[in-house]
Amino acid sequence: MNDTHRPTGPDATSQTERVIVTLREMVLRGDFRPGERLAELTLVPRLQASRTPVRLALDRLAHEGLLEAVPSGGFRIREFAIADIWDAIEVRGVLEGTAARLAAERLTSLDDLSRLQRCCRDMERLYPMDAAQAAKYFEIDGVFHAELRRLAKSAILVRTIEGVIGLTFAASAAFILGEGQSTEGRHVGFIAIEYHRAILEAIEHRQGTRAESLAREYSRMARRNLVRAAQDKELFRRVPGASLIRMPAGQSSR
Amino acid sequence: MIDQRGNASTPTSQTERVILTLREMLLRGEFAPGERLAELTLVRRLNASRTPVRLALDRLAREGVLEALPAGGFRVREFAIADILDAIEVRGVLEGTAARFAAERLTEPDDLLRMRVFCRDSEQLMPMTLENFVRYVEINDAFHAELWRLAKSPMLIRAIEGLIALPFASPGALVFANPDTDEPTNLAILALEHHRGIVDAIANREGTRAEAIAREHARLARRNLTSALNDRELFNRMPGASLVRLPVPIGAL
Repeated sequence: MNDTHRPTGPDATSQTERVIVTLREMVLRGDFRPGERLAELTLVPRLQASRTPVRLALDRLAHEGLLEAVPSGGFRIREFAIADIWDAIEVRGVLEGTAARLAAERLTSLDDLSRLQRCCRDMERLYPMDAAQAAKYFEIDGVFHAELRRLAKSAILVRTIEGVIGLTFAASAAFILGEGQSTEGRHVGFIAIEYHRAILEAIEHRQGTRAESLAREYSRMARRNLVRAAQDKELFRRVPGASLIRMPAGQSSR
Repeated sequence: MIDQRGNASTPTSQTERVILTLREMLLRGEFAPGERLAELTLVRRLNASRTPVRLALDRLAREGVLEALPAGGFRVREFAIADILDAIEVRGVLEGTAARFAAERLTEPDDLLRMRVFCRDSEQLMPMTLENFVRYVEINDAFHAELWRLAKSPMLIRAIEGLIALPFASPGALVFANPDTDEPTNLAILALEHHRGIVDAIANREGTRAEAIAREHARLARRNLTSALNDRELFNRMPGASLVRLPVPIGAL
């Protein structure tokens, strides 16, 4: 541990953040093979960083689930079965559903819904969607769901969601890359917008159970997107994180 | 559980030792909620080099017992009663999902044997005494761990583990409240009825029912907490209690 002992402060923090972002990108882009061991000393020159930020980044990505700690020390790239990704999407749906339910139960004033209303309006304008509009859609989708989590007024729920969100990486990218153009993709876009409108309406009327089921079902669309993308090998290879997913020979859902 | 190999030869085992020690110190209440933790002081106090201390601080921040300050550094997180209630609610949602998955994914009815044994074992412990209660909490933990296993979802287990890193969020965060009344026995009877209902629903592949019962089951912890709040000494026996800021005067929710 003969590290350059830099003070803990904004500089050290931002170096660590940079290393985390870069390493995460490298892993999702497929720069390493699943199961490959990551040597701290190799990463130090490759990421142009000192050892402590590299160790912190490895630890963080292990926490996100992209790496796994090796019992004898060190880390290796995790390999996911497609079932793990379905699972992550399902668990995320349950948690986003809880956020929607709590938002409905804990709503104090209808004025608190203005940001969600704006998101819905902005989404509707994107229809019909091409690839560029699909990318924009996911941006607004991100704002909508962040706002939903804020309205749930539960710091602990937000923490829990953040813990699984990293593993649903592939789903929205698959949609943007592949689906915007096809007829089926256009339908998917339309249905997705409808889900958001309905979730908003359910919260407005404090229909907790309805808001929860809608948000759960919406997350299953992510699964459909990924199933469809997986049928096109060329396309699937471009999805971030695809290299970490082991596909069965005959692709199907559970 | 401190590493008995002593001199912590490899960086990993030194880091693990520091994480364990610091976590224990925090849960024992050696720092006040909101207190800032200075890296250099910890280096001396934990007798470790700076990198393991940095790693430990980062890890405990992710577990939720510390919070990272925007300007750098960390402080001890302070929880309100509302956060515990929230943690219980979120645990109910996750365990409800575990119960539903278990129902949907059950292949062999025999897979429920262990849960049935745990139900029978906890029935033997009624009426509840303090000695029985200790054993009861153990069986209860085992029941819940078995439920998570039957969900067959590593992702769900990750989410649950992330949550119960906050000790007061775990299914074992129970106290023996109001010992001179029927309350401990009554709560245990209700809990057993829930456990039996969950097993029955899973056996019949009734996913929705299993989920609803498991959610409701978590709310028993809320009742237990309400009783604990009437007695500060009792409350302090709850795992993670030192991180919680209590309203003054301590009383009803």
